[in-house]
Amino acid sequence: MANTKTDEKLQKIAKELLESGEANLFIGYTKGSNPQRMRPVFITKPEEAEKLSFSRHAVQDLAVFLKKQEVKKFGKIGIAVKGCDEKAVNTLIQEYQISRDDIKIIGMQCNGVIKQNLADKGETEVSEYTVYDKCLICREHTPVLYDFLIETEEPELSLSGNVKPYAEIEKLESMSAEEKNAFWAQEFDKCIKCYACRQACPLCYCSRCIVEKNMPQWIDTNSEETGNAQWNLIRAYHLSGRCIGCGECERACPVNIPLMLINEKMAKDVYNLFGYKSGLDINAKPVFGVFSESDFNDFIK
Amino acid sequence: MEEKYFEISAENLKRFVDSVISGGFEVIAPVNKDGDVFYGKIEKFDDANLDILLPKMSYKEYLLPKTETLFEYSFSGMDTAIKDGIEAVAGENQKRVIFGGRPCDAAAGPIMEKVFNWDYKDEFFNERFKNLTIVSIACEKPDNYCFCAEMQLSPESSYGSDILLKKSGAQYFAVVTSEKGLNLINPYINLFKETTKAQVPADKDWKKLFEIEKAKSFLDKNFEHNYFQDRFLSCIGCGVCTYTCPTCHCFDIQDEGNLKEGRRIRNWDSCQFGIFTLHTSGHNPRVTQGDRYRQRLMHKFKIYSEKFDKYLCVGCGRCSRNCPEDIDIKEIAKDLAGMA
Amino acid sequence: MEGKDVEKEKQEEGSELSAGNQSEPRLIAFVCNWCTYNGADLAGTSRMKYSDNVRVIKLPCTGRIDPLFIVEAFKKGAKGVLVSGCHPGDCHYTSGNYHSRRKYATFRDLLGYLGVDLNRVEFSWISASEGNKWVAVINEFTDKIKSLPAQTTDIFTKK
Repeated sequence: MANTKTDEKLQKIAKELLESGEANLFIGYTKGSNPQRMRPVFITKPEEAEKLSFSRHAVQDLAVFLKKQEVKKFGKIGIAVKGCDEKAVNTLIQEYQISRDDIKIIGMQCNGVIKQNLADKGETEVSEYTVYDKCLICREHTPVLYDFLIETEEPELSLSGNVKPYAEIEKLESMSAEEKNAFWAQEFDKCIKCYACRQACPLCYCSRCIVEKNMPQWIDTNSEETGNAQWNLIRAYHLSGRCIGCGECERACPVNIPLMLINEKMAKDVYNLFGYKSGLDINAKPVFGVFSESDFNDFIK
Repeated sequence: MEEKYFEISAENLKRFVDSVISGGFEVIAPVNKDGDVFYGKIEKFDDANLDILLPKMSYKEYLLPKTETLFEYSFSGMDTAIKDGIEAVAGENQKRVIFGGRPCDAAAGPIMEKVFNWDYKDEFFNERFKNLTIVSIACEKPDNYCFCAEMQLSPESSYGSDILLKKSGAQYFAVVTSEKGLNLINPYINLFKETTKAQVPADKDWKKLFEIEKAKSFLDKNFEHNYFQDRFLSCIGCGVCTYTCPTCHCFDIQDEGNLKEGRRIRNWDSCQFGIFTLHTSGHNPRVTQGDRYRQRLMHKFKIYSEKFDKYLCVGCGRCSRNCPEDIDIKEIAKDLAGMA
Repeated sequence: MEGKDVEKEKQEEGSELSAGNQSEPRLIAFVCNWCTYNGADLAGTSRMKYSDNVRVIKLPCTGRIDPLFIVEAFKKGAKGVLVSGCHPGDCHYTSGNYHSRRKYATFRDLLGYLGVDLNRVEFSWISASEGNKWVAVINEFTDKIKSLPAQTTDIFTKK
């Protein structure tokens, strides 16, 4: 496939960054194992910048690599990010995981990426039926923070309102405890404890995860109802008020647990309770790092 | 046992599967679930989705469950009661059939069996394996991620299948390779028509993209090659490759319990996890994801084959299809063979 | 440390068994050292009676009470969990209870969303002088828990 204008702009910027030494490593997308797939690529030499590409199949959140030690050691890094992924970069900066000075953000304007399972079956059209739910509620088609912006050539996503993103959340909220329990028991039963959700998450950067702490063993190691539920509960909680909704956990999950139904619910609740949305401002204080005297108190006797 | 050959029409195959189910077998087949296809129990033939190439996960969990209780204990007063987990396995449904899997999945059985029996005989695995009858369907159209032919198998290989079905027009040919397979069809033998090998369409000549022996010879000499570190920078260590793999069999033994009761379990584990090789001292011999993915390649294409004369990979391509970062093992094996 | 706890728990176990397990359902109260614990102490020294289903675990501050503790309590078979500390503005460490309030507002939501009956988790502010409030909260909570079906279905128990 020939280079698009977007590709050319991206390649030019990456090349210049690497030549000038403003970045020692450039993380971007390149063409993947089939025409409907993109994959991450790591460029260190300016002449390799021509490998870079971007399309509606660029599903991965490249910010996940910023937590890797192997990547961190490059020091100055350039990264191509969509609006959703960029929020992860913001959160990493906000939580002092990376320094704003060490990172060059190439914002990729985006009008939605196609669900990978559909793309693998040959889907190439962007529509409300083919993109991820996160794209339907996306307000950051243009990233909130960037050093360079690459405008999209894609048509704007037209929404008819027929597809209700994360519609299950409202349904679940109205269920009784028992019904909710039945729903989640069934979902968590599928879990195989591969921890792909954690690994694919740009914000799960603990050098030692709670499940790996065994003195005491907080989270049961079994991959049955109990261990699975504890794991999914505590991961969701650790992401509350932090999750930026990139949906990588759900995409990586090999057994299709609807993890975003939990993450989005928590994001919604945190917004309702504290008026906080994650990933929008690198100078904002993390929601659980601060408090207000007038915080919600109704549930306390 | 010498192979036997039968013909069966599509309608009779349906009848056969339905009779097997009503005959008390638990039949596991590809079923539609959560927008994808997974192996699951079917109540009737029509529940199965046989149009797809491969379910998202393998049926490894029927041989090596994601969590298995090895034994349980409980205290009451001064008494301690211990219950061996094998009793529960033996008490499970004795008769289980995997129907509609593919030759790659079927080949995984005997490949894993070798690991679970080379010194210590794993009674849990063996009990399950013994009670599993595998009825596979030969592939007509492998996709771009498939490479069973390169892995010394083929889309029509009967290795590991008790019965291999080959579609030919509106009917199937059944290649029965074992007593288990014969026992399964015997009660319904009137649905089958015995035939000869000559009648069964010959296997096609499946093209190979690379020679796995070459990849092995590269791995033999290049443990420290830069390729691994550079290529697997994009690996996030999620372990999906190992958990969806039909032959990856690493497990982790853990104790769970309190003052009254407890149990020892074994859970799936993965060489892609940082903690997998972490020593008590804090030292980790496999520091980077490059080291860890190299281990996976080494185990699949070199270490296992030196011991058992087969490869620990059946070329199903699940790790490539399911990798969130699009790491394609077929491409990698080809790279390795090319560098040899 | 660990060995000591085991001993203690064993003794407790023994005495309970002989008493015919009167204290089911079991409730766990995680309380802060400065307010609620002293409140409970006051209740005790004032000879006030309250339900003996509760087991009190003292921590420095509600800010130290990790949601994992609640998970652990449920895991180990507690029917109800209470978290209690100083009133807003009274925290010994100035802001521990404020942080904890934020934490638990969301954690409680999450528990509810995942199908845990929210009648089983309770939060309260009880000061050192509120022995009577402690008694009321515990008794009320115990009654509430006793009114729930004996068999709980939740994500912490094996089906």
